[in-house]
Amino acid sequence: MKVRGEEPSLSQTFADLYEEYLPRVFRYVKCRVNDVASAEDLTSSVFEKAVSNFARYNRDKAAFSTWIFTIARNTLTDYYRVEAGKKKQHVSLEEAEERPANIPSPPEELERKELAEKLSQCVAQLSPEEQEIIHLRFEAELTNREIAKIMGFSESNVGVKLYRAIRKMRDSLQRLEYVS
Amino acid sequence: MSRDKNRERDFIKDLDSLLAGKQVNTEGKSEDERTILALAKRYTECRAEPSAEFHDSLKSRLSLKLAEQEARAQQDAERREQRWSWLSGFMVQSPVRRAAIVAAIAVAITFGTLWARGIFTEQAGPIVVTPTPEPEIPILTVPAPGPLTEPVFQAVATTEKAIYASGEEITIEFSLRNTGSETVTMVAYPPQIDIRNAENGQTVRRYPAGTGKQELAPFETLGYTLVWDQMDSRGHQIPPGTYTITIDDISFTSPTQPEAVPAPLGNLAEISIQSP
Repeated sequence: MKVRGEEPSLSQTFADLYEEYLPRVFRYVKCRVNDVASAEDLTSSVFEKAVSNFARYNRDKAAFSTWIFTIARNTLTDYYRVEAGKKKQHVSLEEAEERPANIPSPPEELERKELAEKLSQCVAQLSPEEQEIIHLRFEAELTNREIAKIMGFSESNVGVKLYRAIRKMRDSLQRLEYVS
Repeated sequence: MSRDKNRERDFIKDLDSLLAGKQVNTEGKSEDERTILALAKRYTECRAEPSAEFHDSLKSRLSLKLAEQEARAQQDAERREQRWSWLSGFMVQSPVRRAAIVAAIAVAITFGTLWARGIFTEQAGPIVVTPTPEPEIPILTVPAPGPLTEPVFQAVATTEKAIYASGEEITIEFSLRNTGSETVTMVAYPPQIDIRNAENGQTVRRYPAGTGKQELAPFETLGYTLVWDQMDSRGHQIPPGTYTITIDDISFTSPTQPEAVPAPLGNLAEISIQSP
């Protein structure tokens, strides 16, 4: 039982943060690598680094979201450096969420996968900077202010870039749906 | 411009609502805005979530790692605590031990100081203390003129210290001793006293000789005190520097020397005056 005024233990604090941030970090990493297995490995790596350095984390200096997503971005940078020589085949969101072949997907699930694939293509047409903003906003669920801190832009600049990026995605999606 | 800003602000607000899983009211919005929000909504619906299996396995792994870290930190803290408690128990908790240690240190310091001064050995220790030289007080002896062959007077002038601050009163103690074998009579007592600038020899203050006579038996000593206020003959404070206290001579008579003759003396003491 938590006594009033008593500081929660390190484990308890981290457990709470884990519950809140695991889905966000996983989604962010997964949309960057487009592969569930790699996303799980990289997410594990991000949280292991966070645990190792958690005692040194100073909440007065940076919000936990800024801190963990900075770790995530650095981890991804290292990952891409290692993977640079390998020719990666584009893997769609749909493929990433592939179910075992013997379990049939319901129609709505198929529809969702189809949309996810189209959105993935739309995001891929954006500039790397716009892609990063989209991922941090939608997958990591960071606010514009937090994104601004991580990427080194002003908050209003992030808002403008985000708006334009979504508009581009919409236009791309409309074209894709028209073609299909 | 402000319309664009408002639109952007509304969009951010709507996007926050969408990401929080809330419904967004699109009434009154333009077609462009509605389609953009619709896309955002569809995007949020397509987001992947980590599997429960992955969530649980990573959580248990991290918990284990965190527990190990905490245990290590706890052990380190306990070790530090033990070290400190041993030290504090030895030093603080026992007043007897504390007093014994303080006494031992005091004895060691005293012994070391005495040893350094060479108390225990004939040779001086490593620390050599040079005593401050005291102001030299010349002892002048005056040979008796004429038939007297031995000195007549021994004159000494002493001050409390060698260095005075400017404006400070200076008390000068004179001591005159008849070192001859017969009684002498000083014909102008007290004798003339001059205070001179040691650098240029200029007399800054003169105390003229008295008009009285003073007998002094053989080996008798006579004391005389003069207080100098550091003023020159015109009543001005003398500047800082070195000054001499001088009795040029003492005129005296004796049974064998009925005519008064001067017995020359000279500088008796030197003092320094410093700026305040």
